[in-house]
Amino acid sequence: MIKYPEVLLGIPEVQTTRMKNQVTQLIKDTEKTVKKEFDNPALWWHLKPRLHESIKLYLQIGDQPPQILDRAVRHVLGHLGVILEEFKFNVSASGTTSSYKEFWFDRPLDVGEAATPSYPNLLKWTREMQQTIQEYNAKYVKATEVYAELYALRKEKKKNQATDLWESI
Amino acid sequence: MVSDREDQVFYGNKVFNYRRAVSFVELGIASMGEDLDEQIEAKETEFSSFTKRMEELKSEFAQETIRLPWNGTEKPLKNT
Repeated sequence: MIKYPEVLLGIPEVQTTRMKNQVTQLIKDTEKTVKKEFDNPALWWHLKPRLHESIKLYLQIGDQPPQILDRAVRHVLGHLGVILEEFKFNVSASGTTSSYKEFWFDRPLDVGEAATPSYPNLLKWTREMQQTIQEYNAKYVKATEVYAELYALRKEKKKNQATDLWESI
Repeated sequence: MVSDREDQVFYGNKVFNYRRAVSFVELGIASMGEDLDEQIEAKETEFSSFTKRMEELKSEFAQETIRLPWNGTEKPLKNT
């Protein structure tokens, strides 16, 4: 509204009301939106433990949050872009590109996949968010070590079982 | 008289056991005699304490993210 006041002033009042209702609904749905985005197990190592993952996956460097979660947070905020695009606020959230537009979408690496709405501007996490992920990162680093040891022990057990089976025949 | 076949089995097992011992040493696991199942169970317990806390942190982060978009919005938008 503040960035493009002429757009808001130029649309009929009925549309302004509709837009405001959509924004209000978006705010109400924030919890649902966050849950849907964050329930993706690929975001959280502990939900899908794997060997050989980068040790820096959740590392915050300076003010730069870890990319994997920064992207998810931007996807949550990107829903606003869909409304802004609908009401012609010089925003593209659907993946269409043309000049004079802010690109509010994240283009997936796979060709043919639809673009995901994503907040494009400077985004600073709150102190609480940063502290939470710092602790998550500390746990992650230790957990990966424990997981590797557990994996090796399980493998050793399988080897022993195979040996015992072999020797028993 | 030891047959070639028995020889192969004997040396095969020796190599297998040697590798087993080496991999334990590589892992820094002290005793081969210690029950492997107990070690696995202990490690699983240790691992689950990490994942439990990580799940709590995920939930906390989600709550903090829910508050993020509207930080600075002093009064919520009214329903029209």
